[in-house]
Amino acid sequence: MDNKNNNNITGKAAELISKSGPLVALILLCIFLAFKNENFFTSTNLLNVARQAALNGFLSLGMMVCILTAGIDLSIGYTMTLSTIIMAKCAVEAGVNPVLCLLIGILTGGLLGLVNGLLLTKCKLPHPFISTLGTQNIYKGIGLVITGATPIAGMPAVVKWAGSAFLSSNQDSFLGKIPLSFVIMLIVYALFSVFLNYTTLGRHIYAVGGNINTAGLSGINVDFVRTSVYVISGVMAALGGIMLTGRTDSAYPLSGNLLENDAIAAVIIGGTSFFGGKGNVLGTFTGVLLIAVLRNGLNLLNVSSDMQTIFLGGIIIVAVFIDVVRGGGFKRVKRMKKEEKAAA
Amino acid sequence: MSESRQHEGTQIPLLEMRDITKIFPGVVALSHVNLSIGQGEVHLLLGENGAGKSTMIKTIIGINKPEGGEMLWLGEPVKLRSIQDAYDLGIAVIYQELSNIPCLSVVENMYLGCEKKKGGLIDWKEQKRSAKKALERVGLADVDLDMPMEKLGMGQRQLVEIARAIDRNAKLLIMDEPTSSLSRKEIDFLLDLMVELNQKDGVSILFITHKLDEAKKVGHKVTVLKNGQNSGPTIDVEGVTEDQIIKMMVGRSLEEKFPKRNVPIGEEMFRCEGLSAEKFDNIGFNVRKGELLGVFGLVGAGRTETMRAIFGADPLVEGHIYIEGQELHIKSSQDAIRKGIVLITENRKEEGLILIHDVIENGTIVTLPQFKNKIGLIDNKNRRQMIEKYGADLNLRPMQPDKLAVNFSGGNQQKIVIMKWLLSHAKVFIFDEPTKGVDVGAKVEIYNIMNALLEDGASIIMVSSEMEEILGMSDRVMVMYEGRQTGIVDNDGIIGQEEILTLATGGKL
Repeated sequence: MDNKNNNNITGKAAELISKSGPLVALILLCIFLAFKNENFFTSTNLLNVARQAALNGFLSLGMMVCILTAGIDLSIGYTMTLSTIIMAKCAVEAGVNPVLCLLIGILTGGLLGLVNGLLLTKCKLPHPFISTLGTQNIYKGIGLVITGATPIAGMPAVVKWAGSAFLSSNQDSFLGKIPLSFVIMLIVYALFSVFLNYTTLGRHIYAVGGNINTAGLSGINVDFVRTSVYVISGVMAALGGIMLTGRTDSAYPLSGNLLENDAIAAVIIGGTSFFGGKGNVLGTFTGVLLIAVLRNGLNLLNVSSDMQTIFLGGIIIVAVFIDVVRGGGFKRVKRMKKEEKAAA
Repeated sequence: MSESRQHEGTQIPLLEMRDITKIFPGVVALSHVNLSIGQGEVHLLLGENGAGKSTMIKTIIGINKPEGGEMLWLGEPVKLRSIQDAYDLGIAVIYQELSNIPCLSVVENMYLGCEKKKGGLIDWKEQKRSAKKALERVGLADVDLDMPMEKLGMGQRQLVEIARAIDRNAKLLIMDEPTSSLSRKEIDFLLDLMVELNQKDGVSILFITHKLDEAKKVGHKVTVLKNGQNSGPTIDVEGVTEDQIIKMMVGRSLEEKFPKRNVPIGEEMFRCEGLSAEKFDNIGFNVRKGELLGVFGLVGAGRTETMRAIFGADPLVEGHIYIEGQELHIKSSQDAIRKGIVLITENRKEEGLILIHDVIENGTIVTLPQFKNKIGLIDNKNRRQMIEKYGADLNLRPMQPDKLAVNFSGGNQQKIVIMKWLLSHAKVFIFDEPTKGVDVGAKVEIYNIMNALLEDGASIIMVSSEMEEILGMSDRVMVMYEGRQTGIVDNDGIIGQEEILTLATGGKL
């Protein structure tokens, strides 16, 4: 009887851990780093992590909605780059109103995403992997051509403000240490949670990813939903770009390189199903933080960036493995234990 | 019956499953089940959906490891570690959903996983030679061995799988609802083939089916499962009636397989004229309020294609569609749904449901915009209440709105599909094979739901391959043959099975 009770408790604990796997991993990682390095658990460092997380945070949201429909957006990094370049061109060379520049940047991101969506739905390319792999190269090339492969410095004030300002100008106060970009990211995440759970389009995204045939035969405009997610992805990329260029004060034509990797990693670590239809904003948020903390922590521990890559790869596999275990592995272990008992 | 049906004496059974218990987390799927299959016997394994038939098969072939009980093969205890062990013993399975790979050739599919080799390389010549021999046995002598599997019809693909089993000298052939997607002709051929394999080659067959008439035709012994247990002892098929078997399956007698309805038929609700597309030509019919129009035909008659076109899922080349006298221009499913025409597809899992989503999501997928509150956000509480109300009306079991669709039985999955259209207040329900893969008890429930829809003034178009269902439910029957409409007859008892079959095979009355 006691034994059974015990089993139950461990079973429940196992279930809890598996359900919030990434969160537990994040907490464990933080505890580990706090003990290992005294500089980790300082407000300066943590807020630095938060600021650096903003870029991947936006990209991951865009990536997430694509993956929710069983798609993917490989062009996300260079969509970001190209939209920042257009924005910078307008601001620095054409002297357009800064706020208008900001809107132009976001609009560019949306348009680039629209191209991805239309390639998929109107040109009927078989998988977004192909269309976005193509546009990734095209967007990259366009950026290089129009900048002559040199960075554009001197972003408009409003962009710099969004990317590098703090909540208060008083640097000693608590608010003065919280980066605005992180707060904007939090707000966008909250809005996304509402969007995905409480709007028709949001639920339709899950339905299309869950079973595209059923969704279509239920009267959902599947093409519209699939196009929308790439537009959303483009807009998120542009927002991420604003945060990045605001922080670095320049639009660099190769800034988007391999950014899609971290975005996909964050989404997958966060528990979104690669086959679509399953996943949530909180998971992706945890994934983004986990990657940011990992990179920061490994830096503090003087681990080379080459080694960091190995760690990140490991984390992706472990996270998905946890997902696999969640789907049946625990049952297997339970059965093995039972068989052992029966044999004994 | 004939001599060959007698299997008495002291022969050792080919396979004996003794006292099998299989536990999944939270469910006892099988509890002390016994099943003994004699050598050269056709054994029927019957039971409602969820009775444990599939679990039993998986246990026999080594996919499930039972918690209790033992397995004897020709009297010797055996313990299977994998499906490969089962193959080695001589057990072959023909699955309900075909397990071949459509883009590979016939010969590749036949030797997938057991390729014949010479010097480490695949011996194509030998494979083709013996494949040809086995295919001749199943009546596919003319099939091109290099043709991709997907070019064959469903029935032929199944025969290829049987040929595969013959080629491997299977001693026990397990057939899991093999006839559920076949035409009448194909079914007859398959049943004959089963008898032949059994009598000429002495192959034992474990036959799982929902269709009792077929089962009775070929079976020697019958074991019925109910709620994961033996429902009574194994009995001889000879002398037992369908009603007795049904009683064993559901634990009660089914008063009426097809519940009566007394619905006055009103004015015309739906009419179509001259519908044509690639797979059908010049189809025209009407349905009135409270009326059920059965659509009968063999597989390939173009019934499903016609219905998909009416629903806007596939394009229509020509034709006019009217609802309540007004002409519609249906360009997409959205247009059809907006006008109250809905299609409940044959493939629940692929086209009706989102299996990884729960009842609430599935049930409200069509009508999501109706649940918006004042500020345009979806009111989840309202959604849940609506699902609970309709779920109770439809007798959804278990009534758990948060349960994923994949975890419901076939009949209850069908109820979830119906629920989503009920919420949309549709007027014309097109049911395509509404009770395919649904067990006997749940069938009656589905019929009751259809009757209730008719009482509420809806019209139903029901495509079915089951003659009994067509005769039991329809007010009128439209028959199709090779994309043509060969007749519309009143189902008044004067026109019967014979006449409808004549029309369905291209004949004239």
